[in-house]
Formats: sequence, C-alpha cells, structure tokens
Amino acid sequence: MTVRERLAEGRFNDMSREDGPDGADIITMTKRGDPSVYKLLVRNLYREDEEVLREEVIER
Amino acid sequence: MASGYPDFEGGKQKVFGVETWSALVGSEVHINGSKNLAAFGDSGYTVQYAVPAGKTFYVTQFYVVAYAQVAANAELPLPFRIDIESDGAPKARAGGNYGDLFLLPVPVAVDGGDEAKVLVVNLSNHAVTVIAGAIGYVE
Repeated sequence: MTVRERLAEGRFNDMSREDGPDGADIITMTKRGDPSVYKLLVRNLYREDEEVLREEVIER
Repeated sequence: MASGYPDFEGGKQKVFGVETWSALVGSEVHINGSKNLAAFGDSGYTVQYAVPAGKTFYVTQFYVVAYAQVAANAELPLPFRIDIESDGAPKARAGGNYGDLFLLPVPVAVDGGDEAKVLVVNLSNHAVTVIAGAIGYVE
C-alpha cells in the first residue's frame, strides 16, 4: 500500500497537514498499534491536478 | 433480575459513549493542520480529509490555537472564526480569542466521498499562525 493509498482509505488515526515547499502540503499520518510514521508531500491534494511528489515511511 | 436481561451488577459490564468506544476499537480520527494567515480577514484551510466511500466521519469536537507571527504582537488580541465544512458548506461555526475547544453534542457527519475541512479566519489586525483540527470517529 502506498502512503497516498493509506490516506485515501483512511488507514490512520491521526493526520496532520502543514505547508510544504512551493505550495505543496506535507501530510503526516500515524495509526495506533503501528510504530511507523507515514509522510506524504503532495501538491493540489484532492484536486484534478493532484501531484504526489514524495512518500516516506519512517519505521521506528 | 428477570431472565434474558444482562446483569449490570458486579462490574461485569460497562457502558461507553460512542466517542469513548471509538478509542477502544481504534476508529477514532484526529485531523489537524497549521496555516499562516495575514491580518484582517485572511482565511485558510488548516486541514482537509476526503472520507473514504462507504464510511462516515463523525466530528465530535474541533479546536484552534492562534499565536502572533511577530513577537512584538504576542500580547495583542487574536480573535478568530473557525468553521467545520463539508459538502462545500459550513456545518459548524465558532469564534473566540487566542484559541478554544468546541464540543459538538450533535456530531457533524461527513459522508464518504465528501471532504471534511477545517477553515480558520484571522479576525485580528496582525498576522498569525493558527493550528486547528477536528476530532471524531469513523464508522
């Protein structure tokens, strides 16, 4: 499952958004019982011209 | 007790509100985000969440905290407005100064396919940074 798919399927308990570079959003997700942190750098989230720039899984 | 009824005595059973129950079964959802807002009415969505098809996100509370971007303005008033939007329209609205937590005895229900959004409007006369979010559960 990609990080973007995780967001689409709602497989998280906590989701944060902050401004990223050049108008992109940084989305961070965590889920109880899962030690990993899922990060997504995306421009125009949920819009027709959505562009996923980077995905990252931080395993703890 | 009459047969067929659960025995609530002796502490063998517990009753939970749906909000607390969601944390017990892992269906709680917290969404939040931050935004820099200019003075005099600048607004922005701190976070948006497209609810998966077939699910419903029930928002039971929302919150915001605001602080001055410039240290010299730290003690000035920080009035704000916060909206919970879905279906392209505000469903819950509140306002205050500096920040607050707002409880919704009747949750805002965001159906699958819609986006739950948190909008903050800076009503102060100086630039602020806001952190705002919504808490609830998904079924």
